[in-house]
Amino acid sequence: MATLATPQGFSNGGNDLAAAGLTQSYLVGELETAMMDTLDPVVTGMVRLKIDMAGKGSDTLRVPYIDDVGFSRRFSSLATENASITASALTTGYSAITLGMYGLGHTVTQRQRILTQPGTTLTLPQLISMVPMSYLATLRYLACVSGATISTNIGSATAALSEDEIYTLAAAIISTSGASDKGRPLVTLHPEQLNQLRTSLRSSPAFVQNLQAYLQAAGAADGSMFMNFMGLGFDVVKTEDVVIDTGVYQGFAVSPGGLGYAVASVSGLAADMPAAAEAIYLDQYGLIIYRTVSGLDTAVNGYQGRAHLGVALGDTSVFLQRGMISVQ
Amino acid sequence: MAFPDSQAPSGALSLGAPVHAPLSVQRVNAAPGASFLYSFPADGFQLLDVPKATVDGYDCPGGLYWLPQQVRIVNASGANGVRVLSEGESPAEAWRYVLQIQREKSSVVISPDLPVPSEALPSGAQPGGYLREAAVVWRGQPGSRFITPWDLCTPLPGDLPAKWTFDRSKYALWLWWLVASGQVPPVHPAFIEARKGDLRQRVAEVEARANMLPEEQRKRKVEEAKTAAEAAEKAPVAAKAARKGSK
Repeated sequence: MATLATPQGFSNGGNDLAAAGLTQSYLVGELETAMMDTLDPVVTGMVRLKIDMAGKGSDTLRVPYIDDVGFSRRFSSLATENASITASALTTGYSAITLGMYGLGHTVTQRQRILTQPGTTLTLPQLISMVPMSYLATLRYLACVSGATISTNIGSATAALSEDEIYTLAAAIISTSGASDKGRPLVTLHPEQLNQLRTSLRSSPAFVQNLQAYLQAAGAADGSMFMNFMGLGFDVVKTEDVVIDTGVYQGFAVSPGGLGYAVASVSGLAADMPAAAEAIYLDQYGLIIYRTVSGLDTAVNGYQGRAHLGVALGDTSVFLQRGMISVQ
Repeated sequence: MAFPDSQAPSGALSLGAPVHAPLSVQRVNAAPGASFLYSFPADGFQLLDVPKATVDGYDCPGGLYWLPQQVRIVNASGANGVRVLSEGESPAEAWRYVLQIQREKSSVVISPDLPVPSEALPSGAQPGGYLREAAVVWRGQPGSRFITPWDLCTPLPGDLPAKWTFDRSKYALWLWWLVASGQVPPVHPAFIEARKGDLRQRVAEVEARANMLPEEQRKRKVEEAKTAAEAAEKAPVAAKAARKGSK
């Protein structure tokens, strides 16, 4: 695989076969993309939007929670007819989201755009159309970075993930009141952790003589998401973004909303952006994409995407959180 | 790049330049990775085999120990409280809120500048803290990958990504030393007891469920569960120790 330097020019457009003394051509219109991790953290519910921080006057926002009310606060027994009622205290706390900033850009020389055979590489508009996917990949990475800081762990730093850990998680969900009230918890695993789990299931007493049951339980379906894994009341997704630290996969499980993200809507910039930038404002992502206008004197066209987003774990008293760790 | 002391949960905390890891003369073909801090939450623990050694004047008898388990706070803005800096702002400001969050959680943040005792470093590793910077190249782009001294790299020929292994033995010795020297508090026994209870229960479950397995497989599964439970029962919790020669 060749790397196209920046800006992508016609002279560095991938003539490696020609350099080897071979004549070559490209199959027009059959530009294929490399295999990639396509897990969408928003569609799968891995992270949920908490707040738009535009105009809030801060880059950090606290998300408050409250306890000792409603179902978690019973009436006190009154012993006498004229007993007075003592006012109850409340328990409050917060989690906090800090807004980060991320950027991505590509540049293409005008000569490359003019001379390249159409359909053999991506044009600037095509590159721009793929920016939201890169944004989602960034959001997924930040979710995994945050999930890796969960300290209550299931599993071992020296052993592969096994079905025992899956049952331990199921037990934790059952024994934690309210853990599933907002929906099925989601387990995020590294693909290799999922392989470890399948290996364990193969020798499980329940499945060793029942291939059909094993295939069903091991999530033999395609894709990156396994709904209601083994019927235990949680979903599983796999992504290579799961943090590996000290030779240990730092997978994690959270109940829905336990990982929240914040954005800052960008449409307020419209008054300041030059028309030539053809800016696209994606407020729901906190993302602005615009053409760069400064490279014209060197015959370079380009775009930049800037995203204002942050991810944070909710409080453990509001959301179930478990690390799902296993050895690399 | 020193943090103000008022922000440091455990003594003075600073984040100096990481030690550059001499992985090879040329850049290693590996994905880049951000820098990080290690924080030790009160409820993080693990069971690891620690080698017999004298480290920084502390005698470690060796064997399985219950040790604290760190979390990695990655330097990625917008995650874990890492802030985006304004122009000219001190880099330490990016970490300010991170440290506050960790302090509120009663976690102990260990500075990357705290030297790792030489006995706890893999052979050939440079002296320094736990944060190392390796020069990498990934998809044609040069970059940095921040690693620990226990992350060992084997470069492969051509465009093949390098292979990484982890020296868990020396890493375990470092954790043991962190506790022995009082940098990180020992794991609270209540957490250990709960884990031991889980492992005992697992033995009973495996014995009950494995009846339908072929004899050899049944024996192996029961034996594995028993071995894990017995090891957990016998292992001591790493504790603060006396240094040789100190009164």
